[in-house]
Amino acid sequence: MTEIILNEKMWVENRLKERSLGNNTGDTLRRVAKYYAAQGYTENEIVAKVESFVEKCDNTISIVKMQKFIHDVVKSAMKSNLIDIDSINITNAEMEMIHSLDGSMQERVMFTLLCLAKYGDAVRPTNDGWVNNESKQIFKLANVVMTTMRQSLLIHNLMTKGYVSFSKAPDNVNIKVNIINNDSDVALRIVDFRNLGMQYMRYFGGKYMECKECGIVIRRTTNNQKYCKACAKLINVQKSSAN
Amino acid sequence: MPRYWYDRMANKLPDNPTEEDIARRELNLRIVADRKPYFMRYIYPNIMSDYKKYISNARTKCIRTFGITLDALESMDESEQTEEQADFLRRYYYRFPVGIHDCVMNKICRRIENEFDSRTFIYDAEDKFDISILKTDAEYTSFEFQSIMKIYKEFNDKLKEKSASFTRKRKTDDDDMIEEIWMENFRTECALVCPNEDALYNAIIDISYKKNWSKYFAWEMMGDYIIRTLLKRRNYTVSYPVEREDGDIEYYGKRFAMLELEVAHD
Repeated sequence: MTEIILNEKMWVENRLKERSLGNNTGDTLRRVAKYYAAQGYTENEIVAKVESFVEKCDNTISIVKMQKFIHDVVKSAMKSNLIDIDSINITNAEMEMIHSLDGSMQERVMFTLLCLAKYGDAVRPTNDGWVNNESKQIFKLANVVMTTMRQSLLIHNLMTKGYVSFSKAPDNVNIKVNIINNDSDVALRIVDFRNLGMQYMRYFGGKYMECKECGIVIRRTTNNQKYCKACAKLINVQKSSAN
Repeated sequence: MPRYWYDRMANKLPDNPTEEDIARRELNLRIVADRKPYFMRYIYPNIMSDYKKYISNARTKCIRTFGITLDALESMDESEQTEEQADFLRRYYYRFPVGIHDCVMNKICRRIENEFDSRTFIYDAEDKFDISILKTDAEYTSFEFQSIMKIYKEFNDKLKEKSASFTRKRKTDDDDMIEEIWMENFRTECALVCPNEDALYNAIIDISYKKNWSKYFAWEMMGDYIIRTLLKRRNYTVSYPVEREDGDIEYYGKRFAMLELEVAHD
């Protein structure tokens, strides 16, 4: 699943500094290639820069074996622009519409669909509110866990209420969000596309917090909690090594 | 092969079509071979993949659109279907990635599929692998078990890490040597946690074989011990099949007989 990044320039600069290929090598290299393309380098120059980056990240990797992959990634990256979005703004009118739904799971999923649709519109103005992310990613971002059958029925409910619609093609599972309304004051600014469901819940109160290390919004389990589970583990390891 | 034989979109009318052009196009569209027949999904993996994706997406789309499964929609009487449902089904069949008409090969394919579908393969718990044939009588403590479980998990994590690195580059002799060194380190760790070899062996077998977990750890740590234990149980006798014309076992069109061999032991 491709991670959703609002500011690819900053993200790539961090990766270049950390010399890290991240969880998804293809996505990382694609963004690095777009970064250099935005600076005006030619295709061959970008290939050379990407190869150099890969070698710096892991000098055991065989560049010869990865050549075709890198060429394909660079070619594909040249067709799109570097994404540089400050935030995705959700308005009061949109929040009210979502909040009027029956059930917090529906609300979280609808909120996530709205964020994804607005992200798509920001990246490509002709997007027109369509969401083409996989169900798995949508429900993961919404922090909703349910079977695939129930996922489809939940979306069916949203469709019957007019919040979303679909294309006529029987195998096209993209979703069009119908409740985009930018003619209202901004209620919430989304700068991080992780745990969108929890960000929605936090807006309406509840025990949610931001991790002091990585910034992800999580559900607070203790009063003095500062970090998310992943960061807490890393910090513990660092403290143990220091001692 | 002319493109209009297999590409529907290539069947275009010229700017000022005649009656003959229109008739020819209609004929071509009726007979265009723009998709392979249904049975060929078992021959071409990409067609199987396209087919499965189409069915999966269509099923999801049907539930999202109508709140009922595709099977339920297909089994509904036409008179009960709404216009949208009928339209959905029409498009569903029109856009199918394979030809589903009743040609002879398709009929044979469906007949064989039905035959396999009608058979239920029951997993009988009685047939589950009996790990007692691997084990000895030695006992281990709960602490030893937990400690070895920890080593087992570290081993598997390390293995995943190594596998990921070896997909990116070719394994060299140095890598083999490094791998042997860390295998030896794990063996030493196991021995430190549980000095009694028999008890260690039983603990490792229980961890690896009781649940459906990776057995690689067991064979790397105690492979020799497993073989020795099995041989001891069978009085150091090994049975093996040999191809013989008068053999009592028939397999793959050939006949085999089981022979026994006594293996040297200490």
